[in-house]
Amino acid sequence: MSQHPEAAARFIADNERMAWHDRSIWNARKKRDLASHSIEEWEQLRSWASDIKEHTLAHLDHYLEVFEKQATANGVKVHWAATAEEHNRIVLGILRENEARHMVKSKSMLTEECHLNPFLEANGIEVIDTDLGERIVQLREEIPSHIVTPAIHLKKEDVSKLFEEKLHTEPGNADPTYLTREARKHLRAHFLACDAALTGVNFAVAETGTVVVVTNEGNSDLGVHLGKVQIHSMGIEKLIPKWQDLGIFTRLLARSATGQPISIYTSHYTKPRPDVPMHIILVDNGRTEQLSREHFRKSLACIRCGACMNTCPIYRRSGGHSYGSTIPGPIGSILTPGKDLKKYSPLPFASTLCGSCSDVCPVKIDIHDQLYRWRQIIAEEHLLPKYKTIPLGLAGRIFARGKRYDQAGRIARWWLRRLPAWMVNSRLNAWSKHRDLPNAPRNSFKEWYEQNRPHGS
Amino acid sequence: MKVGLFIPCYIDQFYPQVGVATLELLEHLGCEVVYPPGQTCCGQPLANTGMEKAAQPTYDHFQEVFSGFDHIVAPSGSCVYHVVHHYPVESRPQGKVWELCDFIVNHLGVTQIAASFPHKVGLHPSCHGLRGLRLGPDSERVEDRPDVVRTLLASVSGIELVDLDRRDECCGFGGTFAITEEAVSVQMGLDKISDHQRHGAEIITGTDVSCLMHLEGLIRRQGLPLQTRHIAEILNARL
Amino acid sequence: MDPKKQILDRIRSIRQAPKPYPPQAIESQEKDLAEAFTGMVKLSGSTLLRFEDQQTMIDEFVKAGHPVNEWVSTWDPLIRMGASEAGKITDARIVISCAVLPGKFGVAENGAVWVPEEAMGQRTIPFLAEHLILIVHAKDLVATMHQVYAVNQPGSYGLFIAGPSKTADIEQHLVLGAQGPLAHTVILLG
Repeated sequence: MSQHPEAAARFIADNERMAWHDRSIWNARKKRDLASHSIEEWEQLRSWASDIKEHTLAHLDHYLEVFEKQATANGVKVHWAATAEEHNRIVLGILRENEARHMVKSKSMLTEECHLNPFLEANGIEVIDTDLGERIVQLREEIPSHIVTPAIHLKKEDVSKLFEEKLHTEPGNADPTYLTREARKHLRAHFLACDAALTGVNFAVAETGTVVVVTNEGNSDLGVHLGKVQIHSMGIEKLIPKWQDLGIFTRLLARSATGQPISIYTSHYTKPRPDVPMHIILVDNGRTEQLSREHFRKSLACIRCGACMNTCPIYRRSGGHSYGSTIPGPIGSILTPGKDLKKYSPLPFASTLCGSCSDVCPVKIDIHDQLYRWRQIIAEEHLLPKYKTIPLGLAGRIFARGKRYDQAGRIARWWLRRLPAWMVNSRLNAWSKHRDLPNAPRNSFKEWYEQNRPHGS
Repeated sequence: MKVGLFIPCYIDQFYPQVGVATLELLEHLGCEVVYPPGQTCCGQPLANTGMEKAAQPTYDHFQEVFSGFDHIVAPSGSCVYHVVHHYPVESRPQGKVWELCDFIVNHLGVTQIAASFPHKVGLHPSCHGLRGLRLGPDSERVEDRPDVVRTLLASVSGIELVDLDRRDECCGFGGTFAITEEAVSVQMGLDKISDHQRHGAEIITGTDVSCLMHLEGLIRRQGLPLQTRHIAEILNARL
Repeated sequence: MDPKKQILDRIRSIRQAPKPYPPQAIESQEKDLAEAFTGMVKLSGSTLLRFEDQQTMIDEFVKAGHPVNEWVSTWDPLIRMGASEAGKITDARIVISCAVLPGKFGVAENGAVWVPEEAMGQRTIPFLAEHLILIVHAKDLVATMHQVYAVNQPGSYGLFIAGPSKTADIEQHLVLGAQGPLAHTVILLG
């Protein structure tokens, strides 16, 4: 079971590092604010993006078929995978068919979700993640802690040590420019030696059969154009109906993600190069299940900008790994419980329901409302711990009756005034470990009111 | 105008002075205020934990207690948000449920309060009031929206409102979150307090005693030279 | 079971209310497109050069003594000056110090330039060049992404390029020159 509170407490225990993590991700949020507030029609764009996504999801079967038809007409081979295992087998099949053994991969949260790398490696394929952050976490044998900046949890000194060990860089040189240049040399060699490339997909345009991939590093294109076969893996929710819709989504994506007005490369792959096969794999892996859940359907509108992570005060103070899910943070906490409710039941509670995630979301996903909804389902499925259900169940019975409530309140305050301070503020009680309880007044407001406004107002 | 006064449970039990200030303030503004005696809690602590079903009798009780009022006012954005946003439609009271500042500005049409509070004050705009009830513009959305809380505070004589680095980040209270995610909750609270301290606030105020209780608990444990006051106490100061 | 049928059947079994495609009305707001474009190009860490016309630019190149014969291009005037034809570079290992490509549209709101496949010679060129120079005519500037997607075509492959390749994956420290070009220049003509 995912244990977010414990993992978060461990993260916070290294207080200086936690504060650095919080600050550096808050900077991304601040850049996002500057970028979005420079667009007068920002809220209008969010509404359009939200409506287009809802429209597409409501007619997903139609758009999937249109997309397949167009892409096939473009000379692309389209595959369908109901599960992660099917997806991985399709990828392996394509690689074997093309006698490819060295694959470069640009960022794809879907392949993380499918655990593609270990599967291919077990089948004798070398997989190199080419996004710098992804390559860093791959070399550390970790998963990304953030969907846009996968190595955001690491300091430059950590990267320096890692590169010294794996890429034989100068010991102790933690200059980010130096480290990036060294990674560039290392990755360039892999690009030149690769015989296959796989990318994730940001948007897939139904009417043209195009897949759109957005990067800042140029790694997607280097792989795709140098490999002997190109593969694009996408969740079925990545579809948008029209080419023109890209105008809305490209305006929102980078501004929300990093505060850039647009990412450096927005690549539109429509037709293959001559003699180089191009494959697109449409993956379900739980998405139709999520689509069937009325309250959670909208979560499939996500364009993976990461803004909800950057704004989340819990994410920034607990780190992406504390969630124990492929996609961390607020959006992960509404997507993941559908995969395994018991295992991920703590995630919807890793939030104060402050609502900041819903307000930064460029496609207006009601993230905090969905977190609230998941909590109800977790309680109905009897997956709440007893330390919550017993006292709250009792409270529910007290709150339903005025007299019972008055009496319980009087007794509680009586004890709070009389118990010694060390007992009231006992560190065994989670509230009081770092917080004093409020002083218990002799009279409640209700008692004051009865004395001071004896006949009502 | 007859107004039903809703005093949330933790205010009733632990911060009666906030209830008193709310009552006196509304009376001062010419409202006929009635406090229905049978009231308890809005049920939010249960529902936010997922126990909506167990909260239903509390919702029914709330609806019954406040039947017959056209307007129900509470000194809490969070409890009001819960009633108007989370109660099943058939369980909501007939009258309109208002957060105090919202009621004063948008129903009574009052934007100036003749109170006096000569202190440096930091405002903590509680999330459910800010993003739930839209009592003001948040830092995420791109919109022009009047800020009812800030408007009222700014009208108080002698008050000096300080600016914060993160003006509307959550304080980390979050109901049972404060217990189940104790470490993050405490860290968020400490960070919030130091933002106020860095900017010279003597008093932290807000629309919700729940957030303030969390911050006050941390402030007292650490012995910091800061205090918390609900906004009703400031608006009712030396009126 | 056929996964395609399985997925489509599953979607069709879900009861969803129809949801209309939203009407959009987008107006161009940018007044001085060249000024806005210039500002955005510079903001992305790129160089912007502006010349009155093609001839002025070429004269300027000659005067400055640029090693045009070491460059790679798809643009006839430069090829006539000795630049290699981009379509003829077959070995990806060859270092391309500088590639000059004509862009088709420039976007004022973000400094991006639309480069269709025809302008590249081959798809690798914009990424293998250490310095990429894109040429855009002022008359081909549009205000926003909405306008550019109304006029550009998917073709076989095309992309927006908005600066030198970059990364901030190490401690959010911005480094220009990630996997693609280390430097980026946009030449605005007219």
